[in-house]
Amino acid sequence: MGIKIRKRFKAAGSVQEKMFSEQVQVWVDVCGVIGGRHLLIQGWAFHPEYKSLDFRLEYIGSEEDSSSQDVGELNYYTLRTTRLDVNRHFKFEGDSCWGYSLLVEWPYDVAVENTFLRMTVSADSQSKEVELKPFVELTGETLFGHCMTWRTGEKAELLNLMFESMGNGVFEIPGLKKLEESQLKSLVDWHWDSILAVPGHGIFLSGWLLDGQRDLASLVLRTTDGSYSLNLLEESARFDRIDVLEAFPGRAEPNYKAGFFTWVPMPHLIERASLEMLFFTKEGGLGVVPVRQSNVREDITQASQQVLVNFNVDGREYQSNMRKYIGPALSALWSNRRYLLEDPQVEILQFGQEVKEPKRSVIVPLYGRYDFLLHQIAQFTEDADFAETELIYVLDDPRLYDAFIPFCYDTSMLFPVSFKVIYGGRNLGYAGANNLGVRYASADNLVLLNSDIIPSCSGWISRIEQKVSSLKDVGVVAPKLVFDDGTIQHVGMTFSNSVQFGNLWLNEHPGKGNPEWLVDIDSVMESPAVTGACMFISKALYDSADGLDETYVLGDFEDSDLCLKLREAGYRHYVLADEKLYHLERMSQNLFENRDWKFKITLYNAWQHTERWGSLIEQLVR
Amino acid sequence: MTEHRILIVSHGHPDHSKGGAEVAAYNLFKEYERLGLDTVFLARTDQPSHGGSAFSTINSDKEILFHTHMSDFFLFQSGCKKHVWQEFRALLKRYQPTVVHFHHYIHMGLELIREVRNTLPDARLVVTLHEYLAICANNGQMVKPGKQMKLCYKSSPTDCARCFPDRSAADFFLREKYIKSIFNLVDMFVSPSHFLIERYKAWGIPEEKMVMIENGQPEIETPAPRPLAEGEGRGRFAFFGQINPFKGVDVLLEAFKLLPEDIQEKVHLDIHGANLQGQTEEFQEKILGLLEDLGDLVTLHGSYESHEIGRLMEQADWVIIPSVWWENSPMVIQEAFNHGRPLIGSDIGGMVEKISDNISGHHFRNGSSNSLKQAILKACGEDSSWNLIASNIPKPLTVSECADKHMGIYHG
Repeated sequence: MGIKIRKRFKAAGSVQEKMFSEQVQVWVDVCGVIGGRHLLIQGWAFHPEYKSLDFRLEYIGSEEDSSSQDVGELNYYTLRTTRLDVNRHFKFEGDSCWGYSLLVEWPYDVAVENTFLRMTVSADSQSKEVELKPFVELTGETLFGHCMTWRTGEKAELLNLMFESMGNGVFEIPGLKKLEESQLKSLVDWHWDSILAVPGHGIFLSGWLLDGQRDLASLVLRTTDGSYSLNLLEESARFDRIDVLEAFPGRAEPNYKAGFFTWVPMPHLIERASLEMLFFTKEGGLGVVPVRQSNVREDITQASQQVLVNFNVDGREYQSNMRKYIGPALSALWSNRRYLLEDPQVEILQFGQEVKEPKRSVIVPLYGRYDFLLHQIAQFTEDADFAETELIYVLDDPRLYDAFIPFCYDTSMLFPVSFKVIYGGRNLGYAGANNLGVRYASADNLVLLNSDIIPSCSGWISRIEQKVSSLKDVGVVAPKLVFDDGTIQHVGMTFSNSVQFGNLWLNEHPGKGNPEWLVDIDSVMESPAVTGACMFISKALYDSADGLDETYVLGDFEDSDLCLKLREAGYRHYVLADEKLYHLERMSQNLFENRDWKFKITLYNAWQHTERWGSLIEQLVR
Repeated sequence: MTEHRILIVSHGHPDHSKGGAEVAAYNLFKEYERLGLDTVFLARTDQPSHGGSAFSTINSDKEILFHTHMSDFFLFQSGCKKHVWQEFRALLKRYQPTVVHFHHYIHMGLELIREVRNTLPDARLVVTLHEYLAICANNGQMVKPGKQMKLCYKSSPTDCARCFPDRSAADFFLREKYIKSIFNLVDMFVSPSHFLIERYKAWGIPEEKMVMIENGQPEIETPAPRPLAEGEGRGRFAFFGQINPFKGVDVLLEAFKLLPEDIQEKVHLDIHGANLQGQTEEFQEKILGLLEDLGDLVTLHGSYESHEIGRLMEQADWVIIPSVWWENSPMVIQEAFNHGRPLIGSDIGGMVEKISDNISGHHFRNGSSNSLKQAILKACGEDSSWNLIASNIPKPLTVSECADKHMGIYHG
């Protein structure tokens, strides 16, 4: 029947316009005001010849200002919705959305009246004006009163539009339907395993959330003093929690990811902040549940583990999770720790006769085991260079102190090498320990040395210094290092792109583990970076770069970071392969197979390093 | 003579594990070194490396350990492919071997063979086959899974899938296709037995690509027969090797149990075997139970160092190899021959090929303790022809002859 009619009307073009306004059926359900600043106009419009209709709303002014040029555009969002009742009434069987919902931003201070507005419904170039109803105040409770036949997704879309326009004001709409915790639990369930607060930084939240029917429109964390998080349903990492699905059979599809973690940045978070979790359902109900956080202080080992435990480094979302949640959370933990820690209470002990006006200072941090000191000193005793060397051991491990100091005393009685011990009272990390040592170094030139490095013959320091004097633009210089079996440990450092870990740049020691005859070695080689295990650098240059960066966690990437910083400033780094020292690098567990939290920390460091230096590295390795 | 650079790849270093294949590979390497050839021994290890590096060295800078592993024993996939396309490739590029001789690919991955072809298209690629790994997914034994140790004569995707219910015939079809795609890259296969060549020929490797070269033995003075006390017979028997279900130690012990009491008083069995602790509890219990029943008749010694083999052989009259699987060319046969000791062996596969019945030893029916009992009776009985048999023993190929034969195939 419809087809017949269309044919007839198409033939008679002049009557078409009239026919549009006759054929189109429009109904206004409600004209509402939300909180004075937003209007909501909802209803339906149907035309048998069109799949869709357009809506237009104009401000035509109040009677007082009708003469002014204030007439004009309003900001509004149009939403088309499913109206099964309309479909049924017109025996319509397609999938058009005849419902409409206009969310209007009302910028005027006067209360709105329906005569201030002109709404037209149109298709092609034909239109019809729609008569609006008088505006009434809408409360949260009545917001969705006219949305009975909408699909849930459409309600959620309206909420989204409200968020877009009103921000967190949505939660403050008077009269929102309140959901008690028990009502809420009949829809969704959740448990927070950890709520780690880092004052001044934010909150790391992890646990699980079971919303199998997708009832929630948003999940927001707020402080009672009015800071809101973003919608955590969108700003969170989700992962499989089979145990949760098994504990709540039938509540969610088998592939539902109940696991949840996120980082909520809250730069104004105070230590005693009261926190609430807002669960906002798509039906417009609001559940407010208080949550109790625990503040993280200096000891962040456990907190770091909690942050990392569910971080899947193989997943497709690995990079964005690192960027959005893991990276900022770890960075906050560590910077808060540094802030809380007092300046180290430094203790300096001199063993043997102090070296006056030394030619260089050698800095050796000690952590975990200290017997290396004996082995180094036994070798240094035979080396004339050490008569002019300020040897500084930085004890970076409070657990060792009691046994270490008598050990130093005995050693100095038996081996005539002068050395200092500097103790900062606590573990400062690799970078921190070196920086502390350098602060007390009195020579112009530095050698940063690992404790597990043993020279292969005497005189290495002065020979290296001699060679350095003929090099250009010298940044950092390092010798060749070999393992105990004579295979290469270090002949320079470069970078390799890890496809497996989202194109992170990882430090690489070319030729590592190879016998020397398998590696191309020149006596002087430039290298994008060199190892920190044995590093020659002038104190002025070291200070100009602010030393080793202490933001890397658990000792990693500091050496390449320093090298890249200097490289960017135009300095060059060299490996002197005629000098050989042994580096008894610890047996490292295969980091890339053992995916424990320490591995993830390394990945975090790599990520930080890549963020900083990725583009420079690309130029260097090309 | 030649400008060869020979890279020998082994799945283990004899300093760490003393399997026949590792020892054979290493002997060859040492012989090439002795000949003044340019050669490198690359041996896989499961030990952690210093600083997580892929390589380290052992004994000299020409003996390189490869710290890598395999993640998939069905398709022999490397568990760290980067080791293949980065570290191993760099080694190939730098060393530029003219010959790459794999004594195994297990524990490292078939990809290594692929990589040699990728990087060095002209290198001579030689692979020594030690078991039926490519043919059979049951540890390459060609024995059906299960306690009965049923021998398998031929593989096919459908038959293999019956052995492994959790895999389909299509899986085995793909496995065969994949392995053959790698094997096609190989210039020459070496096998220490004709039997194994026959099996691989039936599986699809062209005959002309395979050559039999027996494992070389060190050149030693053949020790004299064990001196006998007055009236004593040739009743000292010895077993050498792993104690696992494939080696037939249970058959051996049962045979000794079946011996008449008066004979039991005249014989003794020494078991020089390792790794009983690594077996299933059930198997351990079975062996320990039999040992207990046999009491003084049997002495269980532990494992032995390869330099001890001479001393241990000297104390034996007969060496028994009761394996219930085909074997290839068991090292113990050559070692026994090298020391002038005849063997009693199962009548299948590599054993039947290497031991001639009633000439250099005796056969018995595979898996039958009763048959083995008969062979033992024959060996130590009054009409024993020990002297004749011992005098028939062929002199095994020496290491240097073995190296010579290999040089022949390296030239292509």
